[in-house]
Amino acid sequence: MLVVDSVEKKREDKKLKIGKYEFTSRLFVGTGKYPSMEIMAEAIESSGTEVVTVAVRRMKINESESLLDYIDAKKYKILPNTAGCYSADDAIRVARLARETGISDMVKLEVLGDEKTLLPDPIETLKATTVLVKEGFTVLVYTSDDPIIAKKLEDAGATCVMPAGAPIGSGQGILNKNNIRIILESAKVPIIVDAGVGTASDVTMAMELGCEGVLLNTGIALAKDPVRMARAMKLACESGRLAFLSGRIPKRLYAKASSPEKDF
Amino acid sequence: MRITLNGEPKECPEGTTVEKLLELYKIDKNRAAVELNLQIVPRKELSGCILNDADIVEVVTFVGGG
Repeated sequence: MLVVDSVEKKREDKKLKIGKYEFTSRLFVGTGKYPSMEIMAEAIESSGTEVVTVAVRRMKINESESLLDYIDAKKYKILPNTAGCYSADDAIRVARLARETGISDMVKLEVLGDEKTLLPDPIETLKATTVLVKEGFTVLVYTSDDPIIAKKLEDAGATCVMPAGAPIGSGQGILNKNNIRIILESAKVPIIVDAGVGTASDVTMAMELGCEGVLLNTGIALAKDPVRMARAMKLACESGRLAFLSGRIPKRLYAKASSPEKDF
Repeated sequence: MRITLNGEPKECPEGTTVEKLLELYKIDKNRAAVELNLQIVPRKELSGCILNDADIVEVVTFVGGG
């Protein structure tokens, strides 16, 4: 079956490739909402990530402390997001500003529909993707778990499509495994679950399904012990990836003995 | 002359460039991007871009986010 083949092909033990960049770690970690900058830095280290997301905001004049004092841009790839944007134009503006810092040409594009759900606006997201791809950005696009819009974003030139497991910051895990599976079957670009992850098993599930990676922030940042949770997420990501590459046994309704039948 | 920097009115001498303005406020240009009247000022043009009265300057940087 063609569709199954396409997921099978992903079972190759290769590095994660996003545009011109290659990563060993498949966990992308956000930098928001930590109890302190020091804990954030320690958690990022503990997560083993190679990609950290950041937001773009008006600089506070006369404030000496900077996020970038705590993240070594030589060690980590910085992935600026367009969080807080509710139209394609606004997100494009933020993406252009982020690139102009000279720190990164990647952008985590998110164009949201409303403040209550923080769900993506698919129409504005597609518009912004088309423009930013034309401008040469490496676009990693946040979207819902809808397979049709995911495909359209890929067709528009997104380097990576990032469906939400559940609403941003909700910690509900992967709500619709089947949609993620359908997205994976037809995708030719990396699929990274972005948002909604609450705990380690959520990460493992995404990776076992065959996702190329997981992006999370709140699940680590607001855990009681963010540094320890970061390590849990790292191990979960590796476990899920290994399980996917190994090929799990099919589920059976009835038992099947592990030991040979008794013969004496 | 009077300009607006990140929403706040500021005084600066005639002929001030964007780069000079950043220096004046101790802003590390390697961690910032600048918009002048809603148009991005490319990094290599910061030193040659002279401010005019009533200009609106927006300086952004990276903060924590997911």
